[in-house]
Amino acid sequence: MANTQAIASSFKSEVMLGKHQLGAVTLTSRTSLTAPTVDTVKAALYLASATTNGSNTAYTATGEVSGTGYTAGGVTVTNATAPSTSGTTGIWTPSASIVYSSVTLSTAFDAVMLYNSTQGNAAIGVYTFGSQTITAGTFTLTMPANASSTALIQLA
Amino acid sequence: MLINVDLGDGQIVQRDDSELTPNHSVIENDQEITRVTEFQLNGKVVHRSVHVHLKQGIGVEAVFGRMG
Repeated sequence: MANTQAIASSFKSEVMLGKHQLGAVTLTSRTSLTAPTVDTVKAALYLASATTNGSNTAYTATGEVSGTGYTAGGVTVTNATAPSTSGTTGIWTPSASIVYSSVTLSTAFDAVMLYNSTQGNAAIGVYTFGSQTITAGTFTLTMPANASSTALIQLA
Repeated sequence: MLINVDLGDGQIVQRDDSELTPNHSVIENDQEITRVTEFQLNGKVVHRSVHVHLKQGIGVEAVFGRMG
């Protein structure tokens, strides 16, 4: 049992369907021709004993952390930067760190799932890191540089 | 400075840092830089905050198929 870092397989086809609108609004909304809206992306944490990976098509509470100060489903991701192109690579990275404040998470966790809560909690990807616990503290995930070889999502 | 602590009962309360023993560590590998801040009270960890700086995301290669 382990979490595996991967872009959700379902996300790859959903991109071509135009299901995800990440970052600043640049496209006409699928639900309104006059008031386009950006999708809300959320980030949920998973126990080191869980099995989240690219086969997850949507957010799941199975294997998610629980503890003081943590709300099931995780936190909203600051998502103010639209996807862009760097060289020949399409890139997207959240515009701010993901922060879980004043939490106690006593059971080790090592993965975060990003998912689109506007579009039926459709999974975007799972990212892994060294196993951690938090005691009455803050867990902060700072994003990589939004560049062709480092962005959180790179479509080459 | 007041520090949030959990004394083991699941409740988050505050203690002055003069009562606590600090411990800071940094771990770096190809994937991340992780900074851990701990405070102990009588040998027990009562505060642990972690800052993980991801170095890179995930790449997906788009393949253009052939016709014919």
